[in-house]
Amino acid sequence: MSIRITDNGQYRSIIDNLFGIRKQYQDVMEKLTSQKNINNISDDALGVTRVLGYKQTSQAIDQYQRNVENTNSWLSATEGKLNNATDILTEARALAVAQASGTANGNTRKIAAQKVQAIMDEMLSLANSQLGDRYLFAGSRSDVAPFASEEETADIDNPMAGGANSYEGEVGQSGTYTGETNKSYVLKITTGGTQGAAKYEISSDGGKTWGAESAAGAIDNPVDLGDGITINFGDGTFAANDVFYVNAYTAGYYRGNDEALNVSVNKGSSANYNITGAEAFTDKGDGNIDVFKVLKSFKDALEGNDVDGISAAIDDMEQAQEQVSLCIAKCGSRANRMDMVKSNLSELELSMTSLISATEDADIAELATTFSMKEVALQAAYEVASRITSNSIINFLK
Amino acid sequence: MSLSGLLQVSRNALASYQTAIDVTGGNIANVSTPGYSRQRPVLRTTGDVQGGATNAQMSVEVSKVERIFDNYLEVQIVDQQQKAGYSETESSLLGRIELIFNETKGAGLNDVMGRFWGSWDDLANNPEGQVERGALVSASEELATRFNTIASDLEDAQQDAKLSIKDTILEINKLTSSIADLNKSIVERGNMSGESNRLLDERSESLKSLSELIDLNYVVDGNGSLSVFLPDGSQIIGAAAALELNYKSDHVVFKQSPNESMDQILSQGNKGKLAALLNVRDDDIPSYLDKLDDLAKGIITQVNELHQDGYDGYQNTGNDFFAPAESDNIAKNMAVMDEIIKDVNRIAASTVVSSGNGETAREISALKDQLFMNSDTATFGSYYGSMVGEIGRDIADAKSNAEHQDTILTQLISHRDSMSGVSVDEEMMNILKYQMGYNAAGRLCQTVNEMLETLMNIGR
Repeated sequence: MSIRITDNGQYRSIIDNLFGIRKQYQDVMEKLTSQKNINNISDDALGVTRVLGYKQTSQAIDQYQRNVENTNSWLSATEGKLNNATDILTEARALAVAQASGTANGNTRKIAAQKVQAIMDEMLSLANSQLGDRYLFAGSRSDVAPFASEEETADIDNPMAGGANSYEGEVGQSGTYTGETNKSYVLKITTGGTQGAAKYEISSDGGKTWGAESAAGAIDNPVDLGDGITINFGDGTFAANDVFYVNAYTAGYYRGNDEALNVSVNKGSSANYNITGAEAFTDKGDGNIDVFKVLKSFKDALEGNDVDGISAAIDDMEQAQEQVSLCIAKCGSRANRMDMVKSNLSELELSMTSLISATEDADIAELATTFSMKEVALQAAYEVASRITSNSIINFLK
Repeated sequence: MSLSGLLQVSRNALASYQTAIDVTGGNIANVSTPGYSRQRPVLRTTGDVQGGATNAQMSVEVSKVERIFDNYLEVQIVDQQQKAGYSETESSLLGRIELIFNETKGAGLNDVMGRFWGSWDDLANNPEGQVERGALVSASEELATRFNTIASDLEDAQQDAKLSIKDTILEINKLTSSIADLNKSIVERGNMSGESNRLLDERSESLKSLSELIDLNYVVDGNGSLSVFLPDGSQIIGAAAALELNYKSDHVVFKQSPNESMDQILSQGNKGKLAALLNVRDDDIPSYLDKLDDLAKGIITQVNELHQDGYDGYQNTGNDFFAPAESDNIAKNMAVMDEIIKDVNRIAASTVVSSGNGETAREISALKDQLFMNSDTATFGSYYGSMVGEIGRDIADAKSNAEHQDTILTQLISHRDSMSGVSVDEEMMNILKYQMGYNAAGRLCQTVNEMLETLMNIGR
């Protein structure tokens, strides 16, 4: 017995085929209008995972490029100010040479002293310059200008409390600071309670690393923060995470600190971009010579008609210039590094874009051809479907 | 041979061919009725010729009207219908979920996460900047909201599945009770021709509709009644009655034992719409939600850990950035701490009490490159990428499965059509055939009439 073709069967098969061709037609149309091969996550699951990874990298690269731009502004502002500083130090040195020679006398020296004062004022304003709202040479201190106008003795600020502290009692400090650089000392309550029960930890690096936890109740007695600073508390109840801190300064003009400011420039890689006031203008920390001190002694020597003092100032000015130049060189090499990083990032960005495109984007030429093919197939199917009723045995039976 | 006998023969022939044409007419009328099995009149000779002097007439009768129907094909179709029903439902449900994770248009969670990490870095570049702090809070709120939305969209999809389950159960109950009624009628009428064929067709169609919905096995009893069993052997349709299903406390149960959940039994075999709904509701969606929760928990925990060690604009420390993750519904409830939203200076960007330092912010941004997920082998980003890829694969698999099952079903149905369907060509030919027989019988009748007349006129 041969296969029976029934009318129902015929209609059904034509409809199925029509649906099939229309679906293919629609798929190609979707790809053409979106210009992408992947329009749903189920179109190419592996491709989607890859593309998401590339896009994440691409976003990260954008951010690193922004970071590098910011750093470049900072570095060029810093370098500019330091160049100005070298210039006025050159002036000061010339002045020293002139006033140390035999042609100078008490009067010229008095006039020169005024000039040195002007130089000192300009140096102060340079050292306190800002980029936007941030001091260029203060390390991480932002609440105080990095350089004072008068030389200060070693000093301990009044203790400050965290804004949300529970404790409302009195906090006092005493002692003389014996540390080598400007630092912030922090006391953090770890277990709350009254004075008899509370426990605390101490940090001598501004709150990054902590010593061992104290015994309960030790806070009842004056607490030794280290380097000669003692802090004491009045009556009150402490809560965990209450913070008290004390800023301590060495003798000198510098009020800022030594902190390095960093920025991320690539995965797992950061760059330190700031020059601290300490390393540029003082003899503490990384510096060798206190620029303000030597300018002051120079001025004093001029006013006091002290030729030896003036001669000594010549060397001092030279050393100061060297120190500042060293910092300028640092800025220069950091800027070079930023340039390299920038060009690496650009290259990486290009390859990400092309990887994304290779996976995601549709080949328009190929699609257009496929589209015409499907269109022809669809029309043929419609043509065939329209003929189905015209052939029937009924037409031939009389 | 008696003339009256011959008359009888032609009378029978006329009646038989008329019946045959009736049956053929029935077929033609039902050419496009779904589920109709064509009927064939079975003509049989009656009476026989005995050798010798006595002869009995040979006549024709329609002994029965046969329903052309292949049982084995039917079994295959019912089975395939269950598989097709399952994969189609699965594919359509998962297709909804595909819309939730629309990463191909570029505005998905991937993008939002990238902006979140980026704004921490912007803050690190200017730790006290109010603009940067505000932007960070914005980006963080967007991240939290996006997690909330995805989680609640997934839950909505689950809710939809629940509603569909309820609807499906109503449909199943309707079908089972109608099949039980048909059983009764069929058994009552016995296996007579005509009437029963219609009922049999109807029952067969109902069975196919039922098989699309639920995993079942069936058997036709000796007396014609159809018994339907669930995969664990419990009988859902018997000779006269059907057991009703109910939906109680999120489980599918039999009405008479409302505390015994049938979920496991019904969904194990991966057949039928109900099984697909149960599987997507109980396996697929919860696993996607779990992964989402894991990602949210990872981000919240790691950001909070670093944030607690940092100092904000008021030199406070020990505070969270995100509301701490609880044990469940993590993604749904993810939120930035209220205090931070109200006052952006409470963001701890610095690792020391001096607020010019932005190390904490920088370190938080660098979290995106660290391996916290999948037992410390994947970053947040790559975890999300794999998760989306997995979901995409599930959906692609479901779609191709649905197509595959549908193709097989279509083939089987076309076989069935070929066997039991009506071909107008064939029926037209049959009409010609029977009509010729009718005409011949009529002619015979006329001939016998003339013969009788001749006989009558002999004596004149």
